[in-house]
Amino acid sequence: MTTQRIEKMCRVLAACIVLVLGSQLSNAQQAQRPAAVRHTVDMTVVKPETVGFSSERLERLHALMEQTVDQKQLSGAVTILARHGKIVDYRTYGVRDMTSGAPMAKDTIFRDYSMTKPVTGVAMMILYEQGKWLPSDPISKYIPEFAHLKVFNGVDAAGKMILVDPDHAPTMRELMTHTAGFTYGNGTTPVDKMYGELKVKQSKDLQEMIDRLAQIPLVYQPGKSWVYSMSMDIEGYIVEKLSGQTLPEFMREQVYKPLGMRDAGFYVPAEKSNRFATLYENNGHGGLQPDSTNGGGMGNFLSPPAMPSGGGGMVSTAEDYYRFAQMLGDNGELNGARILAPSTVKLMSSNHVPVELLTGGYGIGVQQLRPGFGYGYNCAVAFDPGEANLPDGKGTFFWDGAAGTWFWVDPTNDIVFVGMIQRMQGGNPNVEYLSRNVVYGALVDPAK
Amino acid sequence: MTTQRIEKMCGLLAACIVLGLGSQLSIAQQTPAAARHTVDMTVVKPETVGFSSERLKRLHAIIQDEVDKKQLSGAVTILARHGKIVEYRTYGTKDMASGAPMTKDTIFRDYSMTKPATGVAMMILYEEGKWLPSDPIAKFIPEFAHLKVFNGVDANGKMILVDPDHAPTMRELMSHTAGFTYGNGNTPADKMYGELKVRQAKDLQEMVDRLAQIPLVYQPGKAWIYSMSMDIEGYIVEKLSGQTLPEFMREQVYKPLGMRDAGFYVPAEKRARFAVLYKDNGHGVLSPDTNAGGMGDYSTEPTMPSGGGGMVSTAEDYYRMAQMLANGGELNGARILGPATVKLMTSNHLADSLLTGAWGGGMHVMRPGFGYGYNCAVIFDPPEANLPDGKGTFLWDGAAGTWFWVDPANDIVFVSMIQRMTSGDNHEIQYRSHSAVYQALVDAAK
Repeated sequence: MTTQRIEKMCRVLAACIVLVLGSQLSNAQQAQRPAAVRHTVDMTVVKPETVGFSSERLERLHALMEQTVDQKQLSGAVTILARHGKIVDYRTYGVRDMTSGAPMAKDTIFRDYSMTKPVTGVAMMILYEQGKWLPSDPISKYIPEFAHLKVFNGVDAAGKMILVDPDHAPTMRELMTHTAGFTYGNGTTPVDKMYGELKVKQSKDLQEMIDRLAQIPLVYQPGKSWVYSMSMDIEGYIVEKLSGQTLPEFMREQVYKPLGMRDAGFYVPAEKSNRFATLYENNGHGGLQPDSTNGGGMGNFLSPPAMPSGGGGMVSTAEDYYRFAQMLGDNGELNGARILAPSTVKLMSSNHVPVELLTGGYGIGVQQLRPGFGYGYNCAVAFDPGEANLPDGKGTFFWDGAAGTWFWVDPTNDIVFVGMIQRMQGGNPNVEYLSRNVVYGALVDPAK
Repeated sequence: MTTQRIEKMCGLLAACIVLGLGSQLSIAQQTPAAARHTVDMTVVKPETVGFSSERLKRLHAIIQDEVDKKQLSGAVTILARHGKIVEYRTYGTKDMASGAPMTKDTIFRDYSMTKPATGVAMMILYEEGKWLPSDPIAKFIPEFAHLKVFNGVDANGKMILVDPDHAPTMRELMSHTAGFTYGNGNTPADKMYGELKVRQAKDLQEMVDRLAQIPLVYQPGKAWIYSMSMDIEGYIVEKLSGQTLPEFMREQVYKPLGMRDAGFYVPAEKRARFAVLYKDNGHGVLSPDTNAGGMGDYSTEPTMPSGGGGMVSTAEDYYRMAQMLANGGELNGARILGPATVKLMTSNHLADSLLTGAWGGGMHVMRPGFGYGYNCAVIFDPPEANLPDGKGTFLWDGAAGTWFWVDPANDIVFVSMIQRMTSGDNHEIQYRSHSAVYQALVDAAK
């Protein structure tokens, strides 16, 4: 063997080593991908196969949405599915308005309703990172009006409410998880009735809302129950107080603008009103009719609200909400805009509800708290998807809105999904959960 | 640089490459679901995938001993790791009277090992968006809309019936927690299964109509009782797909997976390959079982195909289905399910309150670490369950003693086919085979 040949052989060997190390690295990257890799989101749609999805199997998602529109169970929809920050499916279905037949478009604006809550959660976590509050703080530290809240404990013989002191002052942690004792006023107790009598949701501003809530007892002992509530509206008030800005201002500067959420806001300005989807409701006879609830009491969204609702006041396009969700999927950052640190996102999207409340006895709509399915700060969490009878990856967090909009972020599989529709009062089929069946059925190569 | 030094350097480089490849392999092994195996039934040397040939002889001894003692007529076993078959053996005879040897193409009654196959059919429909675990069963079977729940008997011995706390769900149907039974208990509700001849119904519609008259034996979700739930699933498969259960299985499962002899009966041209069924005559001696657990002689396609126990197959057929599940839903290019769906099917769905040792079927006792998914048991915490298997191993067996397991952590599949109606001895073989296989896995990193 000549020196020359040996040297040549060594070069080949060295090249092999580079290849081997290189593929090892890519394996390592895959394992840590969601946390380690930052995705640049440009809304370009890539071939599903490049990130592990089967195009053929994704046809089932299209079929599900198309059938639902064809059967007039939905006016239309916009859906976005992304993996590893790459959009694999971005589609419109049906119409934005059934009367005019105006087609659904990618720039259609939707009422997010309760999908506002995770966004308000991010606002709260921004302030958390600034050292402005701790989960263990009593709420009354920021809202002294709440210092003397009583707790409802049944009625006496005369039908009068029996009120007791809270076992402990309700905390910020409880406020962020619907376990503080507030409600929406939709229950059957005299406390619930007071929400209506005092017109809490019709307050002229957040201060008036707080003043009214301060007169109403908590409906259960803090931490002892999970009841869907105005807690996120109260958070909106806290955001204003801690930041010195209005909630819409804070959102615009700290969330919408850095993330490029161009049409997100608390109302639809005149120049965009032709892009605003019409709201429908289930007519009770297997079809749709125009909404008869004045937008669920939220009005027409065509002017800035006097009382911006952190629990349900936001409007956005599908892309806006996707950008927000992908920021969370990327652990707090999108396209160079750092909103939160990874550990803060983890804290926000970890289950904080004790297991004794995860028995199936609490929940709202199709979201039933149960083994494996809990609640973080302003979002639900599938912390044991198998036990929760869900196909999602561990730690998937999500929520939905009164008009049926839904999203989820799956940190294990690095998947983000957003579905925008405008149908009040639920109905069939349950596209929120059926979309998971078909999306996860199409993820045939999760190692990619 | 001298030639000698260069050669030495090359040696180091070569060593680095080997090390590099080695660590790559170990990374690949952490994701068994991702690796797609091409299954060709070729048997490889056990050592190539981490087994000791020497130690595997203990597995042979366990089964051979039962055959020698005439406690089994014979057996076919398949053991695979990383999609490579390391053991594919036949033992004894398929007919003790004629002495016809057991062969690899022998056809067996799978009985309850049908249940995981019916589970796969249900999950295919799940992926098509046809049902949700949270759906009430009555959404698909309106006949069940008014089921009552048995709540003891009154002074006159009459059943006390109450309304269900909640409408039993698809999730509960898939995990034997909806309230149905097999009619083998001692309650008046169990007796009704026999009186109404539920299992002798002429077709699945008649079965459902009869079940609709019988109260649930317990409040949905409050117990785990082995049941006709998978027969009910068979009805749902037919209703949602518009095909008969055997048709659906043939087109969606058997054919794509190459399960050539799987079906709900054994056609005339294959009868010679059908193993004789035996039972203990009560004195430790095997004799042919002519009643076949009430399932007839399997000579024609049944009018009431049983999703809970009607399937027949070779060992290879069943291995192909099990390997498909181990591969995350795919075999040799045939994609049956997505990996997440297989994961959902094989995750424990029982609440801790049911995993106390109080419930179970045969020797499968629901206990800490050992639960139930959809149509199969799951060892979600093997040490806690006192088992050597890898985390997440799922399994089930059949009334004639056939058994299988899929171990996603170690990427192992095991199938064993015997034909002896259930008695304590079969159970011992099943769990002894787990011990024998895992003690032979000496190099799990391979």
